[in-house]
Amino acid sequence: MSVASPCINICHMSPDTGWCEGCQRNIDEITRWSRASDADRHQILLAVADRRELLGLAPLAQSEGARV
Amino acid sequence: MSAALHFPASLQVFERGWLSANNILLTDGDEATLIDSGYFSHAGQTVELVRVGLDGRKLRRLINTHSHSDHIGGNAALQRSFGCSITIPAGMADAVANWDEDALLLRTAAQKCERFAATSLLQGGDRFVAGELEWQAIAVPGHDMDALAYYNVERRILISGDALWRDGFGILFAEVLGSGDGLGEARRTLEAIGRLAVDAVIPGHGAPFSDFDEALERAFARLRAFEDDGARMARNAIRACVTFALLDARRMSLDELPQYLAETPLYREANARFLGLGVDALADWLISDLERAGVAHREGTELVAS
Ligand SMILES: [Zn+2]
Repeated sequence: MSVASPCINICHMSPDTGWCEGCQRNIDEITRWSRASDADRHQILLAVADRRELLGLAPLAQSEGARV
Repeated sequence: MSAALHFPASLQVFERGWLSANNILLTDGDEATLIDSGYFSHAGQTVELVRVGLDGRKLRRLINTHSHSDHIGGNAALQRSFGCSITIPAGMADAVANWDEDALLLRTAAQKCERFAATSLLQGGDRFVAGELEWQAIAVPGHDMDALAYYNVERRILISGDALWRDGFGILFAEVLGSGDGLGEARRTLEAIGRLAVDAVIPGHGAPFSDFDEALERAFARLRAFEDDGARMARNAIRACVTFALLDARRMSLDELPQYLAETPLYREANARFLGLGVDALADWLISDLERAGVAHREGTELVAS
């Protein structure tokens, strides 16, 4: 199973940071996610972890998210 | 599946979450087609994703797989931003033209969507070229009675909407609401797409996947479970729809939950037809079920998305 998307369904780009307010990926990272290699996805998740720390947010849970 | 599936460069998938359906951008020279537009409240991000994916090309056309709010919610915003035409399954033409909020399940499931007007229609058997590939529209009733899937025979790619996910399929609304043979149609749909040669599925939600046969097996197993136990199907539908509403609103008042369940047609019908619970008992079951699933938790007087 490849690395799961960090999307948490709060899909709005912050005009201040340029990051998604839910998952803290930038628009390029969200755009390329589904064709990104696992290595690239891990890089993106590391960047996300840094950005969340910078913003004082708790780390994203490594869950599959809600399954509807 | 150890890495991303490989698609031609003319086909980009923007994997979204559960509130917004995935968007598929298909490019032909300096023009492009998008399939499905996500949920209304995410339309700003959808427009930005499409703009990046277009890379200077012109978005000519937007095509929907079906008429639910998580697939058509960005239609109006995309048309405003890019001037694209909007093509919808023929079966939903009247519902869209008259903006029938019951037929579009907006009122039925208490969801929001910005109104748009369709410019053309597709039906099962129609063909079109997008992303340098020829797609055949296939009728896939069940989750939505008018839904279409799109199939490319050369690359064996199926754009399945909510008719088939890696693990299941979308709520069988007609069956839950008592307005049609959702179970029977879903079975015929799974049998029909099961006859196709498919190497890659791009579902409406979740990552694209290649284990088509296993996904079909899981879908049939779920269908059998629903055929055997209508209450299970109804609970599943209620849980999924409340989760969707919670992802949208982020929080709901616990005091108002019983009334919300009593007033929203989907919950009312699912309960009346299959469960027969008092509305407070229904609310209690739902809260503990969502907490157990890790979807939501209680915070003071509110139920909050986890
Ligand atoms: Zn749907």
